[in-house]
Amino acid sequence: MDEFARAAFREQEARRIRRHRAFWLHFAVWAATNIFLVVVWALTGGGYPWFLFPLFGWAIGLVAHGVAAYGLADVNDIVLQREQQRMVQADAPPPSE
Amino acid sequence: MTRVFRRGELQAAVLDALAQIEPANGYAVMQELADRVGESWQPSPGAVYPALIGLHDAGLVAVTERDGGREYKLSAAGRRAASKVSGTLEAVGTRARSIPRAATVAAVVDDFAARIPNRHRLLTAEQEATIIAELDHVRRRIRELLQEDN
Repeated sequence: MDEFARAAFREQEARRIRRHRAFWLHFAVWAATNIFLVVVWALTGGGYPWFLFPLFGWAIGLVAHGVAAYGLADVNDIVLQREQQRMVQADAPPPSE
Repeated sequence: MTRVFRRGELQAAVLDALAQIEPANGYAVMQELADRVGESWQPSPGAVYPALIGLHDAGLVAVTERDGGREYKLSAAGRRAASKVSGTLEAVGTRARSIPRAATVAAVVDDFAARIPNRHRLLTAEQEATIIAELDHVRRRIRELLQEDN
């Protein structure tokens, strides 16, 4: 692999890490906010669990973010991934049997 | 933000660039793209390398390994394809240069207003008159400046 290809793979890796970090930051904000809402609900005498509405409503967005961060890849990612597999196969020693 | 490259256009631009500078390594291709497109596009190996691989997979570009580096060259099919997309770089460059830049009068004035300290404090009638007079002066200067430009 030449330097240009390495730079491309490094860039892809950095993009992937940024994407994952953004998702976990989103998750942390979601969790903290909802813990706060549950505490408010408990301190105000429990009763009707209204905190479930923001919790599940926001969870829809959170799941979508998770799918985008971990599940979906853009075209460049797919091309680079395929290229990497090809390189690994080219470097692998021939099967012994 | 306006996109400099339309969908699939980067590959055509790479083909066009390669037709002019082949044989070339990845950095040279990227440099040629950057030079022709201009400052409104930030080139990166993460975009250009997949485009080169895509062209290679399509049989339009041949790759030779040389001194630990890769050199890219058009294949016969690539040359035919390149002749069809010649002018892509020119078109992209023209479009990129026509994208309005952020520095407009409105942007400068908004930025100025946002940075005035104590901007919500109430003014006396005298202070108000003084500020309006000063700003009127600045407005006239801006108008003159813009008219000089035309």
